[in-house]
Amino acid sequence: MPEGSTVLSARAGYALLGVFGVMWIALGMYWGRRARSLDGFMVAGRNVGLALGTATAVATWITSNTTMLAPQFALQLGVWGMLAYSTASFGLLLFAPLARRIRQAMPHGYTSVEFIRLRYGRAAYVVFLIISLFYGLTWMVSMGMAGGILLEALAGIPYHYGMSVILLVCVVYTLFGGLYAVIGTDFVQSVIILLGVVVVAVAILSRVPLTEVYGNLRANRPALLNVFFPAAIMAVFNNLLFGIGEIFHSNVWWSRAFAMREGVGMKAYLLAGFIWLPIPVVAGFLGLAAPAIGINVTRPDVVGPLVAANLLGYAGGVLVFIVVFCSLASSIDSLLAATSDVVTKEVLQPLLMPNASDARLRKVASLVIVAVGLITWAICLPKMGTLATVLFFAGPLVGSTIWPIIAGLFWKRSNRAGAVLAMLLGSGVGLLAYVQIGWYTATLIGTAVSFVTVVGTTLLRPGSFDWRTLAAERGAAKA
Amino acid sequence: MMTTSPGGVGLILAGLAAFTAGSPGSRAEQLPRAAFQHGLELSTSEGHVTLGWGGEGAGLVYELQSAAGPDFAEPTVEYQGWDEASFLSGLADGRYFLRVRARRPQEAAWGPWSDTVELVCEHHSLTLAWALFACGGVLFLLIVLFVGVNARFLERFESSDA
Repeated sequence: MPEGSTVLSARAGYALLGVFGVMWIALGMYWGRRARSLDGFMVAGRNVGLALGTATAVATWITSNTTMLAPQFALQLGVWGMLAYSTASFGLLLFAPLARRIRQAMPHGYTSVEFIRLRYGRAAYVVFLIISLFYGLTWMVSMGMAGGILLEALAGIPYHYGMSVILLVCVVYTLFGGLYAVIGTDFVQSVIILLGVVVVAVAILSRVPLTEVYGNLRANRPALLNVFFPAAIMAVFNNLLFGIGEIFHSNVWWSRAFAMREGVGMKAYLLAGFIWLPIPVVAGFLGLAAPAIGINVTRPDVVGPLVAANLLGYAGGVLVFIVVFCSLASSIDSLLAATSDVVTKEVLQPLLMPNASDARLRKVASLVIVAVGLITWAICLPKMGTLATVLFFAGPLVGSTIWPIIAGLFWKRSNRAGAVLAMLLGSGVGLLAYVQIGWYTATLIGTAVSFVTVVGTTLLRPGSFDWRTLAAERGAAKA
Repeated sequence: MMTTSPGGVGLILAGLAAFTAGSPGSRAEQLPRAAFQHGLELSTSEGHVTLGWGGEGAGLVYELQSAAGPDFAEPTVEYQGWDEASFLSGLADGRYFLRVRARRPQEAAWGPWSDTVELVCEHHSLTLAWALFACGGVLFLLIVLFVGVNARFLERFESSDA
C-alpha cells in the first residue's frame, strides 16, 4: 500500500489502538473486581438491570459484521441486501419471550448447551456442542479478521499486528472481569457506537444527497436497485433466519438471559431489537453510496469504513476507527466469556473434574478464555475469504438449531431423536445448498429441513418431558 | 562484439545500438506489463466479481477497462489508480470483457494491455428465488406464531396459577 494512500497515518492508528486498548482493560478490571465467585464471573451475579441488560444486548449485536458486513450486503445485493441485514433485529425481538422462559425454566442455569443436555440427552448435547463451538469460533474469527482488515485499510497497520492487538486487548479484560467486565464495557461501547453512527449518518447525508446516490446507481449499477434481483430476494429470509438461529442457540444470549434479574430479560431484548433495527440501514447506505463517490473497492467487506473515512476525512477516519473498535470489542469479549462458560461447564467439568469447587472452575474458565483467544488468533492468521464467506458457512448449522430449541422450551412432546435428526439433517442439507446454490440460501434450507424433522418426529412419536428436570439441575427451583 | 570492431565501423555500430535502444519499440519493451492474477474465464450468478491484478515492479498506476465485446469498441474505464484489485457489483445478465494496463507514476506512457478476462453473468432463476422467499416467509411466520402463542399461553397459565 503506497505511503499516504490511507486515511489515517499508521502512527495515529497505533495511538488510537493504544488509548482504547488501555481504556477497555482498565474499565474491564474495574468492573470485573466483583467477579470473584463463579456466578459473578459467568453470569454477573444474576442481577443485571434493564439499562445494562439492554445496552449489552445492543452492543453485542452491533458487531463488526453490522458495521462492515451490512455495507457489503448493500454493495453486493443492493437495497434488498440492506433490508435483509436489518432483519437480524428479529432475532433479538423474538428472543425476548424466550429469555423470560429460559430464566423461569432454569433459574440456576449457565449455558444453552446445558439446556440441550437436560432437555434432549447426550446425543443431542454432542451435536449441539459441536455446532455451538463451531459457530462461536467462526464468529470470533470473522471479527478478528475484521479488526485486522479495518486497521490495514484505515491506517495501513499490517493485518497481523492489528488483528493480534485487538484480540489481545479483549482477552485481557475478559480474563480479569468475566461477564461483569463484558457487560460494563458493553454499556460504554454501546453509547459510543450509537453516537458515532448518528454522527456518521448525518455527516454522510449532508455530503452525498440521496438523489445523487440513486442517480448514480440507476446509471451504473442498476441491478442494485432492482426489485427482481434473484440472489438478493433469496438473501432476505436467509439472513433473517440466520439472525434468529444465531441468537436462539448461542450461549452469548443465553448467558445474558441468566444474568438479567427476573422480569428484565423480555423488556431488555425487545428494547435492544428496536434500537438495533436502524443501524444496518445506516451502515448499508455507505455501501450504496460507494459507486456515487467514485471509491474503488478492493474488498467488499471494508466498503463501509472506507466510504465514511473518505467522505469525512481525517476526523471521519478517527470516528470510524473508534466505532468499529467498540463494536469489535463488545462482541469478541462476549464470545470469549460465553465460549469459556460452555467449555468449562459442559466439557471440562463433566469429563475431567466432576467434583471441582466453584473457585477451581473460576480459574479454569480464565485459562479457557486464553486458550480460545489463542485458537482464534491462529485461525485468523491466514486471512482466508471475505467476512461473509467465513461467517455464513455456520449459517445452516445455527439455522438447524432453531426448532429444536423453541420446541424444547415450549413443547413437552418434542423428543430426543427428533432434535438430533433435525440438527444433523438441517446442517447437512443446508451445507449442500451453500455449495450448490450459494451462501444466501443455506440457512433458509437448513431451517426448513430442521422444522419438518422436528414437527414430523414429534407427531409420529410424541414424548412427554417433565419441565422440573430443567429447574432441578442445581437443587432449589420453581417447578 | 561492437566494442572490438575496428575504427569507424565500430563507432557507427555503437551509434546505431544507442539509437535503437532509445526507439519507441524498445521503450515499449521497458514499459511495465500488467496481468490478472486469476483465470481469464470468470462467471457469477450474483452479479458481482472481485478482479485482482499485478504488474512488473512496485508502485505502478493501473487502468482497468470493461467493454461489452472483445474488441473493446466502446470501453469504459472502471478504475485508474494504485490498487491491485477492484470489486464490481450490480451487473446485469450478459458477457463482460475486462483488461488492465500499467504505467510508472512519473511517466505518461502506458504499458501493453493484459490478456482479456471474459466474465459471464447469469443470475439465478427468479422462480427459484421467489420459491425460497416464500418458503422463508412461511418459516418465519411459523416461528413467530409458535413462540408468540406458547409464550402467551405460559403467561396466562402462570398468572392463573398465582
